[in-house]
Amino acid sequence: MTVEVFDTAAVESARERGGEAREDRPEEAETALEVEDTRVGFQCGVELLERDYAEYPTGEDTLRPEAGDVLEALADHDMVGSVEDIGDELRAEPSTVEKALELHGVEPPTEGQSEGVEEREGEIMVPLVGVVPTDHLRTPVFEDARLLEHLYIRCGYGIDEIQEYISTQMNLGRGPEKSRWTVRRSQIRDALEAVGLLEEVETESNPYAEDDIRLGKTGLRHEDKRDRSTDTSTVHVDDYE
Amino acid sequence: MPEIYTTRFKAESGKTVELPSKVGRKDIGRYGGGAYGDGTLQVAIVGTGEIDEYVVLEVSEGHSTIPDGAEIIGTDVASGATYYAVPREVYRE
Repeated sequence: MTVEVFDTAAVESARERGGEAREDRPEEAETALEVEDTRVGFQCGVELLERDYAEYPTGEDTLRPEAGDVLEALADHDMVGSVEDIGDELRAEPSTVEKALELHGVEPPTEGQSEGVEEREGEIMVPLVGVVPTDHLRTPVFEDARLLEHLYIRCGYGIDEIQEYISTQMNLGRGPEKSRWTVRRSQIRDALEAVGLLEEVETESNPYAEDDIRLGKTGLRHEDKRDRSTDTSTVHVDDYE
Repeated sequence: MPEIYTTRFKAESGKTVELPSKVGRKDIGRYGGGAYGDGTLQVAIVGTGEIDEYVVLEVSEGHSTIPDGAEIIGTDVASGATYYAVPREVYRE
């Protein structure tokens, strides 16, 4: 699907989607959604265990009897090829991991290998375009109108997919020493609304409000309360405009 | 005349030790060291009965859970770490 700048028909059609994904979209846009950060390491890419990083045993916890399943799962994982890999994933010293493997009777991994995803600090892969420096985009990137237009209209992504795609791309370039880059679905919706690609939806009926912790919007109410009938010296904002 | 068994080891997480089934006395303390006398944390255990393999583990200050059947060895007053031993067989369950 080719979209010209200010293609009013495409924009109109996108606004009617209400944040949902489009069915007919380029194959490259589909495959771009399948990209995962496959580096091994704590808070590096996706978790290798079926649990959040916050629930990982770390350090000497790996020596405890209940850590056996975790060690076995990691030792059998396709992306884990060494004791050091397990140590990186669990934030444990290799000597501790060796001791833990021995205690739990788990064979040290030898055959797995991480796919070695290249760290791309300051760059983002844009489907159908290529690698784009984040310096060329607004900060935060999810508010960049060109990126939103591209992902929502040209790629046909829905709000959930845009959130997932940008999050994955931003975290591909982040080392384990940095916190995870995150964006909420409600922020994507707000950004799409701000650039006119979505109709504004009332908060009560907004399906993306669930992850929005705001209690209300901040705003300034501008009222003219001057009472001309009295001679009190009230100062009003309007007087200084 | 009862037969007692005495063993001494360095308190170290993950270390496998042999302990008597009926522990009579446990001593834990710093041994050796330089000017500050920090040395190494050593444990001596005396008891009777069968000798079984245990694994030494530690927990830090505060609330912790330890497996059933674990034997508390003692606390390092310098660090607040409590050392305990779990039967080696629980790793094979």
